[in-house]
Amino acid sequence: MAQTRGEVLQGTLDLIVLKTLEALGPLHGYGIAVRIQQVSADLLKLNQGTLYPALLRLEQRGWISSKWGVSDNNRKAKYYSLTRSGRKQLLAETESWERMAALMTRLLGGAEGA
Amino acid sequence: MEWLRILASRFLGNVRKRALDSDLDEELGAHLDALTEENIRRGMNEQAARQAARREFGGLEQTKESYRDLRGLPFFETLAQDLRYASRMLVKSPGFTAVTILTLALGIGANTGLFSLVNSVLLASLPVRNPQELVVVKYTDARTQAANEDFSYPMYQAMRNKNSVFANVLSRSGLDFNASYGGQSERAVGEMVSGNYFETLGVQPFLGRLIGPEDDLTPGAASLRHDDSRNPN
Repeated sequence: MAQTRGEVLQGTLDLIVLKTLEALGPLHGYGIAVRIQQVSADLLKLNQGTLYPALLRLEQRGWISSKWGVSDNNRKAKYYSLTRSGRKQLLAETESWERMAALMTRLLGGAEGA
Repeated sequence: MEWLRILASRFLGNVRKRALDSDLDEELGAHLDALTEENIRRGMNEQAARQAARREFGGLEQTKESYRDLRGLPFFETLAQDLRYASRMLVKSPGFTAVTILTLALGIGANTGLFSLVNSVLLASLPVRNPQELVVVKYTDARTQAANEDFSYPMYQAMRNKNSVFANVLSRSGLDFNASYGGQSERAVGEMVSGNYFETLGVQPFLGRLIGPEDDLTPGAASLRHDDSRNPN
């Protein structure tokens, strides 16, 4: 069971991307994808292509901004970075996620009398 | 304000489509290249590495598609597409187009005509002072049960003199006249009316004076409708 690769839960990809950008600073799409795979120890099944619509959505909301730059191996790449309102959004979403997670843990643990 | 920002971004996306498309191609291409290089580093040959990269990336075209949907205004894009398609098809089959246009023209024409009629007869109010206060007095014949609105003149006079319900009571009767001027005779459609007719309806004359209550005493006065009086006698 523990080896199953989980699908990315609806709506959590935004939060994951925001958190990644907060932790690592400006990154290109590939860098974000690699980082997500590393952190999730490959347990998360992510079609890397789905990152890009999510990035556009976040940019349209003003939570991240993008700029063309040059990558480590000297290639043109689009770098995304967190904006101020993105930081605020990350805080709010983290809080609501933790509330939700705690609630689910309590609900699921309740059967064992925890 | 968030929706405004999103709308602006989408609008720009619509306008700068080509530049943004090549931007996206470049970005996704770089991603695929990086994945491929990584796979080669892990020991795959180039072809296998590229295939694996594609797999990890997922549907390339789907990604572009949903990206474009987010970026542009899909409703207007498809609307414009449909319109272009429709006009192309219409140009291609002129016979069908002609029949369609003719059908629509006839349909619209007939409806407009009918509506003008209904509008003037049923919907438009009479050009008098308080059209909503006008009523027609009728009676039902006790013997034949027929509804009737014809009264004798003395009956009208009695109703007018003993009236305690209405502001005023007028009488009218349709009548065709023989109008002659300049040696020519012509049939004229008219009405015989009581002297208080215009006063009760609150109609003002265009020229001269209208028939008034005093004309009841010495009958023989006439009022002409404006479009009649344009013909000089």
